[in-house]
Amino acid sequence: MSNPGNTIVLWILLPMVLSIATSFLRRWKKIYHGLSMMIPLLLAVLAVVFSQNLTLNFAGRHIVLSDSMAVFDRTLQITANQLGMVSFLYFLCFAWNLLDPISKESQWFGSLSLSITALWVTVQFLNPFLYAAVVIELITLLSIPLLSPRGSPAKSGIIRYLSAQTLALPLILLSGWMVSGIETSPSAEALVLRGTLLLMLGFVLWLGIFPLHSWLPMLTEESPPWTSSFLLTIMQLSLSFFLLKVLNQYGWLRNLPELVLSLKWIGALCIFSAGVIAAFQTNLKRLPAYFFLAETGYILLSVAFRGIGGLEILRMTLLPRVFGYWVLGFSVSTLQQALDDNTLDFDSLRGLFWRFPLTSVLLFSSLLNLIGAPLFAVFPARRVLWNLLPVDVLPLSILVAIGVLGMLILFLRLFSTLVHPKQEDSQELTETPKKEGPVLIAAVAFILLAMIVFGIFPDLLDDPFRQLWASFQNLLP
Amino acid sequence: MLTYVIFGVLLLGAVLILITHSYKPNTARSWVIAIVSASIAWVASFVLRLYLPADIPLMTWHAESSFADPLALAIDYINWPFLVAILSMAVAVLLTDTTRMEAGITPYSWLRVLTITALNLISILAANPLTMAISWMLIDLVDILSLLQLSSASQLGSKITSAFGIRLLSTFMLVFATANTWRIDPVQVGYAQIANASIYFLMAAGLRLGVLPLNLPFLDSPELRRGSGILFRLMPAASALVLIAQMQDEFLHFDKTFSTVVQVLTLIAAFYSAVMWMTRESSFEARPYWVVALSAFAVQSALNGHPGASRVWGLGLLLSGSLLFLFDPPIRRIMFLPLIGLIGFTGLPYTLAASGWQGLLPEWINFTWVIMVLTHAFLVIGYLRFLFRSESTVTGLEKYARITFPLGLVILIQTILVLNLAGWPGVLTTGSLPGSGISLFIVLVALVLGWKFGFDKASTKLPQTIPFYRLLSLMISSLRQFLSLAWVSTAFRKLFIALSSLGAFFNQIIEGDGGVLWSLVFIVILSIIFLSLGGRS
Amino acid sequence: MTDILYTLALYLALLSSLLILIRRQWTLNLITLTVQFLCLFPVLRSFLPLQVAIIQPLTGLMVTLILYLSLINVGGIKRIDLMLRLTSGEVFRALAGILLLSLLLAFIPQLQPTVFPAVPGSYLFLCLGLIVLGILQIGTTREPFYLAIGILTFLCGFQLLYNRLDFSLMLEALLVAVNLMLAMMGSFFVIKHAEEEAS
Repeated sequence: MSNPGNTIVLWILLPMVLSIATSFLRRWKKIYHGLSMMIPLLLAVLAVVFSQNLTLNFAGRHIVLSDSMAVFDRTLQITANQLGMVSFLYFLCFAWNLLDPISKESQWFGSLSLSITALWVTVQFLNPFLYAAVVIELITLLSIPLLSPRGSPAKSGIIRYLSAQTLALPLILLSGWMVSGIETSPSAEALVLRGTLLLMLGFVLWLGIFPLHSWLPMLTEESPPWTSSFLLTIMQLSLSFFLLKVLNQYGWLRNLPELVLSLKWIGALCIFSAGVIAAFQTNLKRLPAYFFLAETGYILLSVAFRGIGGLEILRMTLLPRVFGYWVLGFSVSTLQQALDDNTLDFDSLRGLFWRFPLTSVLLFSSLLNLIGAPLFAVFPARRVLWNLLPVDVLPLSILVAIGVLGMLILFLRLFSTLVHPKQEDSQELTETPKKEGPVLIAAVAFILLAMIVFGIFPDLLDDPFRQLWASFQNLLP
Repeated sequence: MLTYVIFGVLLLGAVLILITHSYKPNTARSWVIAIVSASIAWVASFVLRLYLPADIPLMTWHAESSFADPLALAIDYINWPFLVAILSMAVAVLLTDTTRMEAGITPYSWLRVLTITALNLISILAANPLTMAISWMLIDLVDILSLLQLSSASQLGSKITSAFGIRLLSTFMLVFATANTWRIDPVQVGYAQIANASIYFLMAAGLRLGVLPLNLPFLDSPELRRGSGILFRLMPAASALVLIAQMQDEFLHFDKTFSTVVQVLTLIAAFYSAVMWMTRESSFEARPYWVVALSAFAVQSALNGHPGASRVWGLGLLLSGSLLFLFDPPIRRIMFLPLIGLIGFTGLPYTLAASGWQGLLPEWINFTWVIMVLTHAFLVIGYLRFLFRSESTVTGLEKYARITFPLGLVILIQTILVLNLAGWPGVLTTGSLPGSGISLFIVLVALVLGWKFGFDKASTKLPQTIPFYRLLSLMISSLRQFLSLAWVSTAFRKLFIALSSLGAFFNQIIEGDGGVLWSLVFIVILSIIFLSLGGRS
Repeated sequence: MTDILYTLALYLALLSSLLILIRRQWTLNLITLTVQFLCLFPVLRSFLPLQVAIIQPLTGLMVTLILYLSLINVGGIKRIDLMLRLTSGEVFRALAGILLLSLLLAFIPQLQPTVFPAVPGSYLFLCLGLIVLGILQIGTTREPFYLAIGILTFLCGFQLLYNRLDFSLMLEALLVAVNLMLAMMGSFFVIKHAEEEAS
């Protein structure tokens, strides 16, 4: 039996070191991209391999990992049943690095994405867990060079993003201090209320929940789409894991009757506001932000329906949601590259379908997928959540329905923009040869096929993550 | 097993055409493959009649969770006639396409016919709303993509977006309707439990059919005028009609006032469409009104508590409609063939549509009764009017087409007759004698008048022949403008623009220089609300 | 003597922060930032052992150094012109800052016993003063360099407060990392801005 290290070294410290090491290899692009892709994949696979009991029998050797490490006066711990989450996060990092060479947005993406993923893993397993707020601030700072690369001016979106994330930090930490004695104090109503308020506000700022969402569309409009889609996706999912962790740890919070109702209303409001605001948008790069906002709403709804299987739904939607963001990010990034236009206003997209038919179809499909249209990957789990809505309060269903309608209006406006060229261009566009290379065609065809296959066989995406919530024992029925 | 054979044969045919035509183009070979595949499927569909009803489970989503969702197909007496109808339409289109080779029909059109038929079969056989919603989406995507592929940027009409939008809306309405029923029965294996949300289901079907609210199916593109285009336009209606027909008899659990409003709207849609159908210049121009009018009959039947009766109007829409629309070129010598097709929807005793009167007419003669009979009569008159305008001669056709073209029409007639005799138990009924009698009487009077004034020859004589023509024409045109709902879309556009500016103003505030401070204000407001809520509880 | 030094440091830190908020001259801002961080030492030393109390001021000095080096690189260090007339924006920020500090002063006697009973009033005034001045800086600037300084001030105030509430070496280490990253982010923006100007 050998004991070569522990989970913290393998999934937090090692990726950090490797991230720094790979950053020196940027000049050798193929090696750099290869490593950026393979390292997270390997880490994800290893997390799956060790997820039984932290042991591995390989070539006659019995490898056992220890699960904790003391850092300063505290401990970091990743147990076997938490490795599913680790695997998920590294898989996400792998997925974005896979297509990064096509997006050509930032040469730092490979190494920084690895560091950021390692830090998000840290967020999940830091103890005391609310200290994770500081790590989240670090992640925010680390993502700045990716969101505002050299050569593009720093605009207000990035400033707003940084401000929101920084404001959240003290709220979360103070809530931790405030409620530290709640479990043992029977008459702590005022403390519970204050603590809940601070925690909720912290999450509202972190996730960009309505009405504090303004940084989201500003950020996606200003930043490279592929990079921002990765950062927002990993942030949303990690924060939803973190929210579950908070609920799992704080009995007083999860048993608060107002919490469930608040989460339902906040969730429905997010979906509603995202749909209504998105319906009027005229810039393609802002759209991912509204889908992100709506998805945050769906996540909160799932958490609110915890008592009737909401966590199961949340798990079912995880991978389809990631896939949806991935495809949307890819299609927006491809269009930006193809047009060599950083703004992507609807006006500049008119008649684009006739020049880039496959990319346009990919964009349409990715939007329909995230809206929750039947046949696409997100639908099977989204439908279950929609089914749960009328059980409760009718206005919630109405808000969600209006949100979905808003998204449909947005889709149709974009569809109309892309298929109808300007009058003066229509003849020319008919005769223009299509401008999509074979690699892109193959990639798009494969993605479309996958989107539909996952829409028809949703269990393919759900099966690998059935034990994802194993560590949240207090939340499981 | 036979169901799989039907799908398999159709899809195999499509794949074979794709491969063989890409490898070595040969139009005749592709046509033979298409017609053989479609014919095998068509014959198999009749054999299926012996095995009704049958369930075909496909898979179960989230089987290991508490949210198991089955996907399945089922064949029963409600959807089997539709299955036969659309397979007959496919065969008929392929046979009659032989007269339209010069109109840009290629082997890829036949590939599309086979594929679209197979996809529509899924939605017709869908055992539950979930399966139906998925198949609707699939059909709509294939439909829109083939439409975009067939058209060029300059040809594409502006209605394509609204038509696609309405289809999408209908699919989402179906999904939300299903969500509404979930609380009653989470295991949705069929349509039995949709009673409580029936109005949403009816609206989903109504939207797809163009009835609720009145919207005409998209038929602008020249490619859709003939042959397979007819199939593409009529087939999607079939599954919506199946959905209506699948509703339970006692399904009207919703607000009666609301149901009356819907009923009045449907009545207006039916009557208006019938008038428009009767007065259009060409059958192409009139085609959407045919779809809307007969769909409105189907919806009306459901609203009257007889969703089963909607089946015959749906079949009339598909079979008699295709018979008339595929009668192109309209050859005078074989005019009797589409004339026989009238059996499909005249509603005379012991004909296919006889059982439809039950759903259409109230028990006692009243205003609705009169309007419905009039509407029906107008539809028959319009049908006859378009038939009597046939002018082509058989000499214009290729030799093979002289056989295949009438054969295509005969296939449809034969299907009407088979369904008339053995479609489902109790198909042979007298129906409503006063209804069918009065409708027939009106048609005969119109025929006499038409023969006397020559309606069938040239509508340019209309102003001279109809008394108060100008007044009538003004009234109809105003009604047409009102019912075309163009004013609704204008109002929506204006509202959208106004809301856009409001949204832009809101965005400016939130994303402007003071945005962060606004955020802080919001934090304070939210905190106060939360604290006050907490204080109250 | 210790008390005088404590009080002096406390008000000097607040004054420095107020100056950063009002005057936007890079050289002056760096000096005042240094003063602000140095003034933390006597305050922290009042309840922490020397080796721990020195961490935050030392980090602050390193942060200032990083920013200074970046500014030197882009030629941003210029002579301080104290005689420059105040602009309307500067007057507004000054008044807003003073108003907020006054409000704090007025409310701290009620806030301190109910919410932060373990924190002395004057200490709380310094912490919350730095926090509100930092927020005001964040809310009134679109320039990334000042945003970084605003966040540094804000975090400085918060770190002080949290050290008193629940000191943890790990948290201290994490916050040091955040401060250093912030400085690097500020430098990144300064250099990026200079490159854009040059091109």
